[in-house]
Amino acid sequence: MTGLSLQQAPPFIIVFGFFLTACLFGLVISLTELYMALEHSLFLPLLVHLYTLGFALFTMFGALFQMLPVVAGAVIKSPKPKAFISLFLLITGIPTFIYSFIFGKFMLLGAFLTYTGILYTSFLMLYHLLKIKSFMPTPKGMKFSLVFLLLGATAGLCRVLSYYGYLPISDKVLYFHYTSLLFGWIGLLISSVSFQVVEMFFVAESYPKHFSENYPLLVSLSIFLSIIGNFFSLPLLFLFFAYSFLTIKRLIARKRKIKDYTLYFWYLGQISLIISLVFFALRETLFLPFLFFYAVFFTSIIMGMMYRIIPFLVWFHSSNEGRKEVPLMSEVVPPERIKGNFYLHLVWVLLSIFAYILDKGYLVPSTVHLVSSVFLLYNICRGGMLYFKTQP
Amino acid sequence: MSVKTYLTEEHRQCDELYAKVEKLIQEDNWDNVLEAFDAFKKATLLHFKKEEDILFPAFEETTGIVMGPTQVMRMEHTQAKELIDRMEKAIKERNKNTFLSLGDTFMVLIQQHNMKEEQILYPMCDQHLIISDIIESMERL
Ligand SMILES: [Fe+2]
Ligand SMILES: [Fe+2]
Repeated sequence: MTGLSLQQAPPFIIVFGFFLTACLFGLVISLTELYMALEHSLFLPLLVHLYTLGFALFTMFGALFQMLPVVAGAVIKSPKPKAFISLFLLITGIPTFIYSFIFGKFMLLGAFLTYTGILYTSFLMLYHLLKIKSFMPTPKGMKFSLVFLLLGATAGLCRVLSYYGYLPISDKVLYFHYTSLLFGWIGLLISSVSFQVVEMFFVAESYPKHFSENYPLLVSLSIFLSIIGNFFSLPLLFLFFAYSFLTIKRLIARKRKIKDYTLYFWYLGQISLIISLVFFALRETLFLPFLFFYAVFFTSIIMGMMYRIIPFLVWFHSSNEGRKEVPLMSEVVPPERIKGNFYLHLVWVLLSIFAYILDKGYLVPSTVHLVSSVFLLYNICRGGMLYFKTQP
Repeated sequence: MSVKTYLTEEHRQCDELYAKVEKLIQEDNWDNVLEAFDAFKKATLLHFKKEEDILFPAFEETTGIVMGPTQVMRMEHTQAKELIDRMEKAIKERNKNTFLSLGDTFMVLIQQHNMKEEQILYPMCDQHLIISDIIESMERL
């Protein structure tokens, strides 16, 4: 029972640092899209890694630093230097890796730095998670998803090594790389967090116990099963479909009926997930739509979460530190701005779909996406700065 | 029954009572708000009292951990009570936006608070304390 204290919420700067980096990557993403639209070109590996490594990984690590003590009682002692090592490795590694996609240089260096950063951070979190005895669905799902992060990143590293000729090239490795990272890491983490968050924050019915308790294991098994072939990915699709269906059902029947635009981010994310699953089944011909809708799924949920986490933490830390002027959540990021960002995000999604169907006019959605990501960066940055401004 | 089941049930009841208040305010149904708010406030404060007067002292006595989780929980209760007072004031002034803004902050505070209790503190209590006595004393409050 030693070391169990609930007060060690990590310093605000940690979560803020991770989120801010992610938002900066969001800006890079939209600039890249704009460039590709102007050049009439699409370089998928670059874009996919910007979304996953740049946007998702940073937000999810930042959120995990915050959530481990809250949902699992796993307190990381002296978190600042540890988070710094993690951020340092990733901030040097990921841009180097991304750079290598464009200019063909330093790929090995970028991959190793990124891999070390992922290894360090996930072992740090797994170590703390495994120390505590908890059989609740959320911490359990976090453990599984971190393992998939490790496996998927290792497969990615193998891919890089085979690119350099150190290993034979294998399509199975590539398949395992993206499936374990998209479904096992991102998907499983988001769904495990939903098991806790949806019920509590929207005052909704809890997920069926059997479902949430067995979900991490079932998803894991079905990911391995899906390697065999297309037909065998059906259980995986079914599980995520069930998750999405149960979530939407709960959100609709929620007891808190307040107009809250973070909720709309949740709806958009869940609907996109369902659409993406259909395309995943048809991935041999429709891989791009799958990736697009899956990206809309996780970026929407992440944005919705960020817009709650940052305002709350600014209030919480300022209030704990006994500041005089403690801004309420709605003063950190006014609801109108969340609403504005939601509609920008939605318009980007819709216009992208049109552009894809017409196969022209990509410039319009890219521009909207640029505005949307600048707005997100501005809101998170300005909101977070409020904490530092009120510091005595 | 375990402490976890008993007190988690109360958390959910308080959530629902709060949702009712929020709904009435959303609909500008001010005539019925105060009554609904009183029910919510009463239930929440009673729940805090059960924890502060019975559960936490028992936990501290048995485990010897005084400056640990219970201290943090008490601090968050104080923060929550302050928000409840401000919410009440906003209702009396019929100030919808202020109420909703306070209520939203309150909800996130209380949800992460409840999460910590349900996931960590209550299971620890169930493990180390004689729970039948504790639930009985809480019922008597
Ligand atoms: Fe409490
Ligand atoms: Fe409680």
